Amino acid sequence: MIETELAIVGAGPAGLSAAIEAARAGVEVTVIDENAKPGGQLFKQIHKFFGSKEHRAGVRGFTIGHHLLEETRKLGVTILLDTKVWGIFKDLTLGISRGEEMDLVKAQKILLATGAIETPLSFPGWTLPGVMGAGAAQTLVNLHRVLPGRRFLMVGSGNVGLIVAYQLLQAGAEVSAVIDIAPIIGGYGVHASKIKRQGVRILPSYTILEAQGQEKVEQAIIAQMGQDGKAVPGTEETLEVDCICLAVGLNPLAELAWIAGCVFDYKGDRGGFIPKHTRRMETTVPGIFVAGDIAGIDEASCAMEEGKIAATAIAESLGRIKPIQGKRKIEKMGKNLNTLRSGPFGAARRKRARFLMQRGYAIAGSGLDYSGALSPGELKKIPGVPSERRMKKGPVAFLECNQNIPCDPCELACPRGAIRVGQPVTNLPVLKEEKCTGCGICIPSCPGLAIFVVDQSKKGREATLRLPYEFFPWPEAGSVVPALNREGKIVTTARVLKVSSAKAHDRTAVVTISVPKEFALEVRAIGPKPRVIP
Amino acid sequence: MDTIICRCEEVTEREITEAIEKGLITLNEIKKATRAGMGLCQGKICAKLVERIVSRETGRAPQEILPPTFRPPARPLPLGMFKEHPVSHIASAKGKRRKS
Repeated sequence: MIETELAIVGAGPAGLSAAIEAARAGVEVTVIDENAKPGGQLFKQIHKFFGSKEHRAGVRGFTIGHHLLEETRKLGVTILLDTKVWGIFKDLTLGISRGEEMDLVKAQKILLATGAIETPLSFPGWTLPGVMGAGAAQTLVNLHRVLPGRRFLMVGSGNVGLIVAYQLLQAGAEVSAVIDIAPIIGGYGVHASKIKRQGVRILPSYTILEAQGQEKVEQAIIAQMGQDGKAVPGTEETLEVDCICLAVGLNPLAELAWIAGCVFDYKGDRGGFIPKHTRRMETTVPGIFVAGDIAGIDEASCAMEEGKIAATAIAESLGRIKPIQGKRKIEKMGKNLNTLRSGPFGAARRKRARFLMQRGYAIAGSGLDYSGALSPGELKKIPGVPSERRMKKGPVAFLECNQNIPCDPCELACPRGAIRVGQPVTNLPVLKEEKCTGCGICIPSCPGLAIFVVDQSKKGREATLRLPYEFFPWPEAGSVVPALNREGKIVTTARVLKVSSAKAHDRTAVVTISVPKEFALEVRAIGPKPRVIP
Repeated sequence: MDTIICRCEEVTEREITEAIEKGLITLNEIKKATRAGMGLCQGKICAKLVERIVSRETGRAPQEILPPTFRPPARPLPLGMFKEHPVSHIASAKGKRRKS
């Protein structure tokens, strides 16, 4: 029997954040995880996170993972790895096992931070090799460096689908299409734009009918969805793909909470049945707390905040911090959490879209919602885009951000105060064009890669463009490459003038190109993306 | 072609809809009748699929369809664990306790 003050099940973002917070308050913590390495899903998140500075916005997920591990090491938190929790018994005791050994953990408080599992989708052929969760493909590519296919279909356009599609491109694969049964793109428009301008088709109101192949996936058949929720006959399309990724949602992994006798609530927009919990993250079983995806599906940044809240409540109930102090901390963290959850995103947005669709209302006003690309008309209305008068004067930033995402690293990046987000953090960034010098420091700061600098002021026929770039190998200065528009179509050729990246930019390069002036407002990417597959 | 729903126990969609036609509409009933969700993964994957089929066939809302009962062991355990001395001490076993 192992005795500990706080047993945490799951060493992901929620569990580790809680372990750190509790250990800092002097609580003795034991974290248990069934995987060989701690970190949960963080180490396969190679993209930069959104949010504010206090949420570590602009930092790549795996770097956050390293920070958390470093911190647990410093604080002397015990992490039992390769260890499964197979039971939870009265008096807050856990049954654990490793290999063929088993043991019991008697804790004073338990935090379940078990995360989630990918939602499956069944269709004829879904059991063929080559059909897998988008998260599974992400694990293969980013952790094990194995590309499970050459040409992919992504089913689901939420942030997971969009981000994994982009990371598949980064790994050298082709993405044939990203489809979604909903009439709008589910995830952030900026994530959609990143793959759209590389030529990936994004098809809302589409469904997968079948996967075909002898021994493995060789084709996918997709079709348009009608208003009645059924495929429209005659719209079927066969895609030559060898891998189909399913990004259709996540389910909380809550067996332990069920076994413990927790009361559950149904929250369709948060992944289904989730253990009912207070604002302090305590379930209906005294002493058992939840944090992260088990408490409702959300972003990793929210999971970390919830872990901290649970740990603070636990430290307080163990008498390590004063109630008044705990209350204040929890209130502050709660506010942080609300900030992260503000804005029109997530599953709630899809629900609203379906509701409006059924009643025949217009759903969204932006190309980012439908196609992933901003239209020229929209561009003029965005507060981050300069006036034509300013464009002619010299280099200037284009903040092509028109969704209310909780995110503000661009504001902090600008040394001249030319970018204003303010409060709430879901505000669109406003460009103060008279203060902007077009220096481009903001370009690699944007986790959505939505900032560009355009200079149309030089004499002659050429304009200069600076773009964020996250593919390897970087293009060579002096080379001539195809220039793509927001829709991913090649519109002209570009000459690469310079490729630069500072350490602080964390592997996001800034590529300077020159294009004919008439394409300066249109070109937003260069390609074709280098292929590494033989 | 009939689509497999529970991969662990190779239960098809037709077997599940037939069970529903017989009046079995909870996930526990369907599990007992068809073995869907009784395999290695204990329904972690197929429970959601069976839930959708039940919802589609019966018109019940997802919140009315409870998941099947969960019991320990929540993870597959090797039989060797139940040998003579089942309880050891993972945390104190030499070289096993990792201070991370």
